[in-house]
Amino acid sequence: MNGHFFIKPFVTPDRRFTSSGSTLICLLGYWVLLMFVFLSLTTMVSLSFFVYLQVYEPGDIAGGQDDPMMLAYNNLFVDNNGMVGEVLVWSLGYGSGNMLIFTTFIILYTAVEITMVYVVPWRVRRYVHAIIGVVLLLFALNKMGII
Amino acid sequence: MMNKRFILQKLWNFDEWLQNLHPLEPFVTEDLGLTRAGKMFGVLFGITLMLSIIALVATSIMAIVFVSDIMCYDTIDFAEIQMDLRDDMPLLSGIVWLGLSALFLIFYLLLYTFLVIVLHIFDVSAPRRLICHIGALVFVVLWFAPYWGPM
Repeated sequence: MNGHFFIKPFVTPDRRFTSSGSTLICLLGYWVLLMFVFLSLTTMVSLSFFVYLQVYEPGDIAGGQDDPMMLAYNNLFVDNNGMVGEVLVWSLGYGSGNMLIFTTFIILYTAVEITMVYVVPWRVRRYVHAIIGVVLLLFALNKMGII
Repeated sequence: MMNKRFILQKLWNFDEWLQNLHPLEPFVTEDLGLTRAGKMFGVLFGITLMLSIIALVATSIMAIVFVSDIMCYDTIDFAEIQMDLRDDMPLLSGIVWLGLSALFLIFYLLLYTFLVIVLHIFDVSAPRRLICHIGALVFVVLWFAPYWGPM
């Protein structure tokens, strides 16, 4: 088994994408973009937390006043009826979880294509992909409490 | 009446150029093996995928804890949290560092792919390609260097 075995389902002999290859590259493109967005969000919030933990000194705040930095964060998240905070918590909680499900789908899609492309025609394989997609989508909706 | 699309086609033969653009060629050989750029892309993508997943899980947990703390600011004592987490600072630093590394890899993966395709289109010689790739790597490292500083 060589590299040819893994590449052939996605590339035609004249080095163009097959329909499976086009789908896979679209999925990977969306994956990279979404991962960049969610990872930026989680990393920047984590970085804020880390830096804040390092610089926070309760003794410096005289007379029991609230820490201005904490108040600023609190205002950002809680103002506007908590909209920013809610959206942030939603993105952090469900965005990250759904990215894992999306990654699972891409891995399964690739695995199904590689294992079935030589023996099962596309008209059957597409139903396999659809079933995997629907099952993972239902799983995601279930985890989000929608169904 | 000529519209913009028609003008673009006539002036620059954009459609013809687009039809002759084959982004797979720099990555795949004629016998459907992988070129050196293709192998590099595969390895880079594999590492990026694994690191991104781990980093996303770790940083999202840390971020949710922080946002939850801030949301119930009135009922928590942040000084106490700080005391509790004092011994875990290296771990928290590692998590943030992991997230930044994953971002760095994603950014570099996009830049690398773009660069390989563009250099292939313009048929740039091997030494100049090497210089361009080193330049891109240095650019991305410098871009992220200020964020690594606080660690």
